[in-house]
Amino acid sequence: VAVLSVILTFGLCFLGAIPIALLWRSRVARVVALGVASFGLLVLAFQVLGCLAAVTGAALVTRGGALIASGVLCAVAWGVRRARRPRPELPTRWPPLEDRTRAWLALGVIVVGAFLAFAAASGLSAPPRGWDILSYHLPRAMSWLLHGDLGPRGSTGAFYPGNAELPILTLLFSGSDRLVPVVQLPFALLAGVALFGLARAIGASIRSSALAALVLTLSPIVFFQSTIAKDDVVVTALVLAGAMFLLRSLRARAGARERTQEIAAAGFALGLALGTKYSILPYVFGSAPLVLLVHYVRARGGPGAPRAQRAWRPAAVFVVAAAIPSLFWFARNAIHTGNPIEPLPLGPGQWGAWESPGFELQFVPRPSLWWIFPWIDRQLVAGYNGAAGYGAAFGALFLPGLILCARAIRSRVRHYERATLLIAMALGVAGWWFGKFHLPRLLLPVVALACAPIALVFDAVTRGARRALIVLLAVALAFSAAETLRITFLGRDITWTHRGRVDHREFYRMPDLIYELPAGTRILLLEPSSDDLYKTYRYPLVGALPGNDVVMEDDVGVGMDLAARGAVLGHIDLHAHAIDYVFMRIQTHRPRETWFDAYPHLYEKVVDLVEPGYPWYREAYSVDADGEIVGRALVATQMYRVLPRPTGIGWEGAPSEPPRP
Amino acid sequence: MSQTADQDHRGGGSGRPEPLGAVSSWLLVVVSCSLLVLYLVLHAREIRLILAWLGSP
Repeated sequence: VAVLSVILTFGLCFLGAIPIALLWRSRVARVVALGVASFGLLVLAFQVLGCLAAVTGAALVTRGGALIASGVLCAVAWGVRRARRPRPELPTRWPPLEDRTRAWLALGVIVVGAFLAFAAASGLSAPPRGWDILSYHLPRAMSWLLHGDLGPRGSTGAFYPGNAELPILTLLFSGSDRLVPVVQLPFALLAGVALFGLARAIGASIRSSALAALVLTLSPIVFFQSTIAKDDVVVTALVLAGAMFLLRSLRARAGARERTQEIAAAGFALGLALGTKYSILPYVFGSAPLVLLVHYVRARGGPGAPRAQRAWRPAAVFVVAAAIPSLFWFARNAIHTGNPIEPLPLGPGQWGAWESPGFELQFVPRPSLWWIFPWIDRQLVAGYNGAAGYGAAFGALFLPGLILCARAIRSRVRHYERATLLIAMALGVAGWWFGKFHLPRLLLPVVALACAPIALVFDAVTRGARRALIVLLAVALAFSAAETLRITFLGRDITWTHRGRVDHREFYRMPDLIYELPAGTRILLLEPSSDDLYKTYRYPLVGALPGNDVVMEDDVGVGMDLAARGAVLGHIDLHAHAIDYVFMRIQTHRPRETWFDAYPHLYEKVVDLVEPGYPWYREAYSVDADGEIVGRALVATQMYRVLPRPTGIGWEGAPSEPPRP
Repeated sequence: MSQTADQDHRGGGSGRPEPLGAVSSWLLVVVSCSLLVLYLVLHAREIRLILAWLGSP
C-alpha cells in the first residue's frame, strides 16, 4: 500500500500535467511542459497541504493528504482542458523528421540513456550520502513526514525553500529511502530536453541542438549530481525550461494566447526554481526586468495598444506565475522570523556584512581567478564530484558559441532571442558573483544556458569544419566520461564500491540502539565541536523509517550550553522539549568523559564507543599538519537517555535527603 | 497558424546563423582545439590517472 501510494501520487501529478502539456504544439515544448507541470502539481499539492496544516495545526502533509491533493489538482487540470474544447487550431500531426536526423537523435538518446542509467546504478549502490543531503535535505523531508507539516526545523537549512525536498518526501512515504539518491535523475533528462528546446529557440538545427544537449547531459557534474539528492540539477532544468519558454514568447504575436501561455510557463518554471534554492534569487529578480525589457523592445512598431502597455502585461504575467510555486516558502519564513529570506540578510544595508566564505578557493588558487574555472573544472583536492565538473566539451566549445551568438545578433537573425539569452547569462554570472558563495555548482544554470549557443557553432561552419568539430566533441566527451568512470570505480567517492550490498547500519556506523527505538523518539543532536561534520549525523540518527525525531540545538534552544546552566536547569529544559536522548560524536582517538557522566541520576549513559567513523566521507580521515591523509579517523560516540526528573532534587543537581517514609 | 506554431514546424532552419566562410570556419575549429588542448594540459594529472587505470590489470 505504501509503495502504491507513492506511485499513485507521482502518477496523478503526471496525469494532471498531460492536459497542460497538450496546450503546446511543439514536441519539445510539450515534453518540457510535461516535466515542469508534473513537478509543479506535486509542489502545489504539498504547498496547499502545508498551508492547511499551518492553519489547522493538523498533520496533513502525509501519504493520504498528498494523494488526495494531487488527485484534486489532476481532476482540475482535466476539467479545465475539457472546458476549453473544441480547439480546432491544434495540429493533428507534425512534419516527419529526415531519416538521418532521426538516427542522430536516436543515437543521442541511447548515449545519454546509457550514461544516466549508469548514474542510476551508481546512485542506488548505497544509502543517501553527502554533507548537504544528510545535514538538511533529507532531515527536512523527514521532519515534515513525522510532523505532517512543512515547518522550519533544525539548525541548518531550516528556512531554505524546499520544493526539491517534496519529491524526496513523497519517496519517503514508501517507508524506504532507497530511491532518494537518484531523485535528480528525471531532472537531468528534463534539462537535456529543455536545452535542446532552448537551442532550437535561438534558431539552431535539430542535429546541432542535440549535440549541444549532449555537452550538458554527459558532463561530470550532472552525472555525480544525479547520484546524490542535492538540488542543483533540479534548478538547472527549471532555469533551462524557463529560458526556453521565455525565448519562445518572443516569437508569438503580442496579445496572442500563445504568448501569455509561454510567458506564464517561463514564470512558473523559474518560480519553481526560486522555491527550490536561494541561489536562484538573482536569476529571477534579474529575469523579471528582462522580460519587461525584451517585450518592450519587441513591441516596437506593432499594431494595437501602446508599446509600454504591451510590455507590462507579459512582465506581470511572469511575476504572478513565478510567485505561485515559490511564495509559500517566503511567506512561511516571514511569519516565523519576519524575514522572508531567512537566514540571508534582508536589507541592502546588511548585505555588506554578508562575507564570502571563500568557497572558490576549493577550485581555483585565488578568488580573482574564478573565471578560469571552465578549464580547471574540478575541486583542487577532490577532483570531479557533485560540486564540480562542467566537462571538457564545455571548456572547448562555449566561447566559440558565445561569439557566434553575439555575431548573430548583429545579423538580425533571431536577434531578440539570442540577445535575451546573452543578457540572461550576464545577469546570472553577475548574480552569482554578488551572491558571494562562489560555488561553481551554483553557476550550473548559467553554464547550461551557455551550452545552447554551442549548437550555433555546428550550424555556422562549413561541412569539413563541422566534421572536425564533431570529432573534437567526441574526444572531449570521451575524456570526461573516462574520468567520471575512473572516479566512480576507483576513487574514494564510493558510489560504486558497495553495489547495493550495504545497509544503513554498516554505512552510517550508528549505534544499534538507534534502530531499536520506537518511531518518533526525540533525539537531540548536540554540537560538541566547531567541526561541521556533526551535522551529517542528523539523518543517520533517524534510524529505520518512519524513524526517530532528530532535533538540533536551534529547535529546542538548548545545546552544549546545558553544562553552563547547571545540570538541573538543563535537565528541566530537555524535559520541557520532550527530549528522550542526547547524542554527541566527535573525532578523537580515546574515550572521553562528558559532564553528563557526573549526573548519573539525571542522564543514563547508553552508548559509549570509540570506533572508525564513516568509511566514505572526506572528514572521516585524519590528516597531518600538511593536510596529508594519515588514516581513518576514530570517532567517540556518546548517547545519554534523559531520565525522568527525580523528586526531591537539589538546585545544583545533588540529591537532597530522601523523603521520609 | 500562429507564429509560435510556425516556428515549431519550420524547425531551426529559418533561424540558422549566417554561414561562416571556410577560413572563419577553420579558425573556429582552431580556437576550439586550442581551448580543448588547454583544458587537457590543465588536466594532465587526470590523464595520467586514467591511463594508469586503463593499464592496470
